[in-house]
Amino acid sequence: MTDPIDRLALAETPDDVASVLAVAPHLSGDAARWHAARRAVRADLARDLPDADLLALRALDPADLTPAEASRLDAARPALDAALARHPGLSAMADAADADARDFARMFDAATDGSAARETDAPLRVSTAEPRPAALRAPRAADRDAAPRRRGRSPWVWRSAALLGVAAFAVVLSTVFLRDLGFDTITAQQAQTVTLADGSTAELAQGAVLMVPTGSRDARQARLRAGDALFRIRHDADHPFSVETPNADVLVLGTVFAVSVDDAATPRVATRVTLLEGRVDLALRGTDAPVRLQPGQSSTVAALTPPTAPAPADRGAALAFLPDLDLRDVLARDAARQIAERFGVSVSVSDALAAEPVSASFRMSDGPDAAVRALAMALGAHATGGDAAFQIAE
Amino acid sequence: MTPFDPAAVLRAQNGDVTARDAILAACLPIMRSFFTSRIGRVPDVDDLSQNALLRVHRGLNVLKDPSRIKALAMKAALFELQDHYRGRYSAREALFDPDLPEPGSVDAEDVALQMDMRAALATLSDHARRILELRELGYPYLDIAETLGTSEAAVKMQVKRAFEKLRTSLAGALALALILLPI
Repeated sequence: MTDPIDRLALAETPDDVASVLAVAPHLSGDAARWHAARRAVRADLARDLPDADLLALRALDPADLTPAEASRLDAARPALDAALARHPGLSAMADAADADARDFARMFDAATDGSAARETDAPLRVSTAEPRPAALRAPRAADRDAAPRRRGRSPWVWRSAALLGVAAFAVVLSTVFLRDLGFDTITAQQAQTVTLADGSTAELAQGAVLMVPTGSRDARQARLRAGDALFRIRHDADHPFSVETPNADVLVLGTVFAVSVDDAATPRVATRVTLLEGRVDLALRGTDAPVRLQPGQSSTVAALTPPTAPAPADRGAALAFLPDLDLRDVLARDAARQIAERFGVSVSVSDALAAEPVSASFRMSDGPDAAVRALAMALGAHATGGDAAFQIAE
Repeated sequence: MTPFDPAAVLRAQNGDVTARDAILAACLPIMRSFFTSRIGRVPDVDDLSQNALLRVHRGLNVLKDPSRIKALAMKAALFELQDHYRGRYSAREALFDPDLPEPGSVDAEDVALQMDMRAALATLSDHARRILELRELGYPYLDIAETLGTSEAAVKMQVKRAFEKLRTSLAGALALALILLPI
């Protein structure tokens, strides 16, 4: 296939596109429009079916779903049906998932019928701490004599290789288990706030995946595997708090900062940290060359590259994932602090009002001016100032 | 007794390592056969099989009904296959890497020069849209062909035709937008 237009249409990788444009730079506009069209297709698919696992759940026998899976599927059923009707590709994918389920059942049944013959195959080990299972020991001579001879029996070198493979797999599994041992994983189905063992909090965006320590694990740590989170870390100078992402380490004292892990472009995972208050050090995972952020700055660790130089942050973009503020019976000074934190402004409340309880909701889209005035109204007070500094007084 | 008998599964759930190993060992050839039938004899089959076994291992601990081991294994395999395609789907996002040579001044925002990309896509036939969507969902051309019961060459031809059609309609729309653009 030499036609650059055809090659561009079928391009699978960035290198494919680059090689076409290298010989046919006049197609750059077509390439961009084609890319935009494909992006539109992806955006529509992601909008209409954000959770592709639903297709697998739909293909399973309802009796085989856990209660959580069943309720998740039921809740999504109307949207799922609408998406299938709207997208012929999704409909084909759903049919394929149905066929996958049928074929797997057939293969499983066929294998189960002959499983007695497979029991002498090398089993897999998932824990190196347990006694060696009998099936991994060499068969006794009497067993060998008694066992029916199988065609194509593997020579000892193959058996050794199989055992080495099993051992290597066991090491991988053990490593995974040990790494995650002592952590609970929280996947935010919707925006939620998690209170950590030391009293620090993490506000998670929908879809964020946070691992928090349990039991004997050091409580001053957390792992953000994906998504956006706003951390408010309790100050403890003697015990810095660490946040680990797939490719970065964030070391903090007492502070407020946002972390965003973009794992959608695997393997080019990126971690962006935006500091609102306090001080944090950001480093590439497992290295000792951090950059230090000042409030209002952000830095990014892309894939396996060092952190970018701290630069002024786009606060609005970094906090765009947060839900609207809905405060119930909080002190006025705390409400003012949260508004200030959200919008990056200064909000002071007179001493006479500071300890007054207040309940109010603030939409992020309305901006700081509207939020401050709404707070003042809830307190029966007046707001003055503007831009970046507001005052509330009777 | 097979490793999948409810009594054996119960033993595995109660900490019998030998029973657990036997279940995983019996699952491995099934997983390999299944993934090979889906994505061919590629190195990914081993990765998918191991990940699916990991799902089975974890799922065993919370499996309520030991007689449902087949469903547990099936779920592990289907989810793993979905993840495989999803990984390819995510990789699509990298098609235009920021590091690539500048592909031209017409990016998504420019295309949005009052141009309705989705209207252009809507002019494609259902068959063409089905192929484009499957492609963007991470399916390779060969898998699309097998899913739709056609040949890989026919699928590629559909993609090329869709590209040509969009190329023509979008270029026309862009020209119109530029003409109508106030100076």
